[in-house]
Amino acid sequence: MPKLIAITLCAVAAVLASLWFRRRPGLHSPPAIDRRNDELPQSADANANHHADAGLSAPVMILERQDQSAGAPHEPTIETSVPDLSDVSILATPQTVWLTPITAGEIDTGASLDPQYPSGESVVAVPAEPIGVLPSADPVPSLPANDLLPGPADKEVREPKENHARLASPSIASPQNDEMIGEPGIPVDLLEFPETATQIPSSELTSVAEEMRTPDTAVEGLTQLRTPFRTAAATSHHTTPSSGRKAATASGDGTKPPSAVSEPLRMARSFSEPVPSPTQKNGTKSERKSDPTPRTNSSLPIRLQLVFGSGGSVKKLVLIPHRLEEMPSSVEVTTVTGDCLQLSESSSDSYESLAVSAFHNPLSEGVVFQARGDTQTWRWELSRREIYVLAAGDAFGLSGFVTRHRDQRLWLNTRHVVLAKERLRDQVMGALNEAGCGSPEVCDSATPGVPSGWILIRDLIPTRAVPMREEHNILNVLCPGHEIEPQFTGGIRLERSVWLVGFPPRIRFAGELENGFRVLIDDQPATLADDGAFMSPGWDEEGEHRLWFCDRAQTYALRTMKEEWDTWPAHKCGLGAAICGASTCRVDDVRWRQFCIPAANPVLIGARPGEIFRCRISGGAHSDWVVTTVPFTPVWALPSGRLSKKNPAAAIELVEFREPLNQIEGSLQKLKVTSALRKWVFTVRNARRNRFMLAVHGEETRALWRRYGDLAKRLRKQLR
Amino acid sequence: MSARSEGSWLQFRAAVEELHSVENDSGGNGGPQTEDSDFPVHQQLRLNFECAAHAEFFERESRYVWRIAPPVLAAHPTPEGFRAVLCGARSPALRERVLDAGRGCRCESVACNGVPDVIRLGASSLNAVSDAAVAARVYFQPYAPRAILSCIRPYNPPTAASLQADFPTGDGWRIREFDPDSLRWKAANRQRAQSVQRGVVEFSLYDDWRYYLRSAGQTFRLPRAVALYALLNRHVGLLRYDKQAHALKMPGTCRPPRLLERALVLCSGFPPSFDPATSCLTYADVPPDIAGFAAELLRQSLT
Repeated sequence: MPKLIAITLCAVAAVLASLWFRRRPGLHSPPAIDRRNDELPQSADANANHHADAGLSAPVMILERQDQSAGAPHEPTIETSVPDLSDVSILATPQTVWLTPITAGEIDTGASLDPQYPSGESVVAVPAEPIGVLPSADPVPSLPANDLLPGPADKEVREPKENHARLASPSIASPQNDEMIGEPGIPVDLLEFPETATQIPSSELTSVAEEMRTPDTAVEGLTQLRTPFRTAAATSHHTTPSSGRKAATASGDGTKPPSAVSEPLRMARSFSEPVPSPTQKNGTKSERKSDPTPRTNSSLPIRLQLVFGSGGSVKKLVLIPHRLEEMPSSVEVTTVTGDCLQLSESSSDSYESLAVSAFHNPLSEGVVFQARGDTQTWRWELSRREIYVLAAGDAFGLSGFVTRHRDQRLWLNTRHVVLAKERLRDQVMGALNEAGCGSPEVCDSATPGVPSGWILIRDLIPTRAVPMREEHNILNVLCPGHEIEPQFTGGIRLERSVWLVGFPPRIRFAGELENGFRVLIDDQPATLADDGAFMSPGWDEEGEHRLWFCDRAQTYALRTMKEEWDTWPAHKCGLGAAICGASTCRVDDVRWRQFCIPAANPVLIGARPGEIFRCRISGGAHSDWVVTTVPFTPVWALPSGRLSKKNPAAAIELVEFREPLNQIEGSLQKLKVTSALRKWVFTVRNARRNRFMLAVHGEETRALWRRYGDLAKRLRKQLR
Repeated sequence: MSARSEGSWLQFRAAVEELHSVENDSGGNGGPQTEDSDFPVHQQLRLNFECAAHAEFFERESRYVWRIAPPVLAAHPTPEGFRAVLCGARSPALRERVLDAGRGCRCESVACNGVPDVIRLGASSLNAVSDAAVAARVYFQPYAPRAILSCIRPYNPPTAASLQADFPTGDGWRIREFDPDSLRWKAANRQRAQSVQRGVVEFSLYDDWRYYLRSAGQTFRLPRAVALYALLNRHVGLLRYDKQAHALKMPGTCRPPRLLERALVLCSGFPPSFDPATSCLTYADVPPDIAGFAAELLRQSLT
């Protein structure tokens, strides 16, 4: 029974509410406008276009936290009654700075509005937008200095230096400012990254060890809290169960992420040692291109990378899964033990590295990953072996030393390190001696970072070609061949074979270079530089180059940097503004102009009747001057409060000297009466009537202000 | 970074480690290195790039990524006139253009450890700097520090309506509490964290760092800097301003939130310096009005 009564009461209340709204057209299903909405969406801005500023006697109600379920928002009917013009103090209604939609430029004057500004746009004042987007060929629409200064005709207005002086040393707003007190204190909506220490020079951190350990998440944002950076497997040494990983699986290219393979994997195969082959030849090689027809099964290598740390220790020993161009940027793989790992793209030809220590005995037993995509399966494998030959990584765009994908033997005249089983120490040293490696340094597992049971031999530069032993001899990898291979080292590598112009690679060759060794670059003979690199005229210019040697050809390219850097709303700060780098912009990408205005004068008046704008100042004025964006060029900046004995400092600031645009006379039929026009008239007339002082007492300024007052007076008569 | 425009955080980290390894690699073969800190270089560079407004690091589609910011001449007034700092992406050609365009101004390129060369233009008028931006074909942001500060809301303590949080559960968390008197962290335990009426508590586990503000018995999870400044509301002597040197100083433990810090760094173009003797961070060339603006946002008073 009580439930029935409650339902009945609800129904009656709903009917009454419906009838009430129908009788008040301005309130009929009003669009909900949340004053505290930090990121006003464009739709809200569009709706706000029809809403008067509540502080300016809004003809429609602006609801705070209006229930969104009130049905589809209807376009509100603008109440056309003349607002109460008796008191300018309504401008100073507290909190109206948060939402002051004012329609600009809706007067049909017969002349087009300044195309620089959006006409009829919903305008909500926001701070700071960059002075324009810079097309590569167009001049920067920069802010002229006189945007902040009065016109040259006014002799008594501030000079630039004076203006600057005011900007440079304003008095600080009182901490007791009422507008600041009680602010909800919602910080800027930002994403959080862990900052694991204060920004202190490393060399100075020793004395503040505590701070070094202290993460400094100096990131604003109250609501959007993020987990710290995902710990890469290279450092975390953790694997995550498949179920846990799946939720986080996300393909960077937006496609469905490939899944790991559920069936058990085969163990890694034994390394197939190089075999002596008289038919082995230097065939013509071309750049590896992506397979246009994806294979159903792809076998991919895993590189082993070793980077030395301080004191000769091994800083990094990781596995680098290979990546083909057509492969996804993120892929979940399974290991032979059934664990799942997430591989993420690190470069165009590799996924992120995985620490060797995260796997069980990977060097001896090998490593296998497998993943399945929609159409194919990938299998990565590091074959098990007892000797690893690692070459200098800079030829592969990596630091330290890495295993090659192919021909994993020693190369002549190239620096290497070798990882070998402890038990093979004597055989390996003998083989290296035979290859002319001199007396290399040997480190055992007592050296930090060297795996247990292994030795690390470094500073190896083979100088003699050695014929291979019998088939499948484990020491064949230590027999340098005479084959000649090009090496591209250094420079700034953009893609696989593409470098940045101005930062080309050095082109050297490994192998047995005979006396008559010829190299052509772009069909021109290349000469040998002091550092052993080959060059020819124009070899480092932009474009594709052809390297020819030993009847083989290889291409590389140099490319300039594309200056295609756009602004985007990186940090949405509320107020419709966003910060990107050093610039600020509007989130709706509307091009407004920036002005530095007195924070106490947030009401801006333009030359065209209807151009009125109230700046939204974040949480009250914290400084005497703030930077804001305006959809028109403001002429006057009016104080928000009424001039009174309590507020003697309130004065009208001249922003830019511009005559009022009196183009609407004699065409009242064309005059489109808008709330913005009424506000413009009301504001100017009330400022005149209340005898606001001018901040600058130049005669021309006073005359200009009088002309604005006269225009407002005439318009008011027309509006009656 | 300028050439690639954007990438993943892991790519950035890997690239930094690669470059750092190469730089530290004496002879490329494992010689002695000069690593004197366990503070990750990639994190330090990230902070520098962010506060110098060169790049943004954020989350997109569940991935942490970086993106280079567009090139901007960020100008602000100085006692001598106006100064503009080149921020964001730069190519060799763009750098040359800026240096050429800055010939009419006082143009300087200063090498600085941990950040790209700081390129600054000085002129007596804003017009001269904006003209240089036009000539160099880069964006122009007048009053950049003030513009950024104008976007930032004050760092007030959360209200009762703010979203509350719970401390993380499970074992292994290292717990510390911030001492507002000594401005240092001190060890704490879960019981203490739950009983404190007003304070900031840090929970850390491996690379997971979380900060909680306890206020009136309620718990709010906040970024570190935000939580600290909410706790240290109107803390006497926290921010000090040297009017002669135009330097803003604060304790190293109380580094400001990053966007606010960006505004401070843009005043000079240089990251803050750290004095190990006083454990203070110093932001140089900060005009008094910007210092006051920043202090108000942090709800602090300048001394």
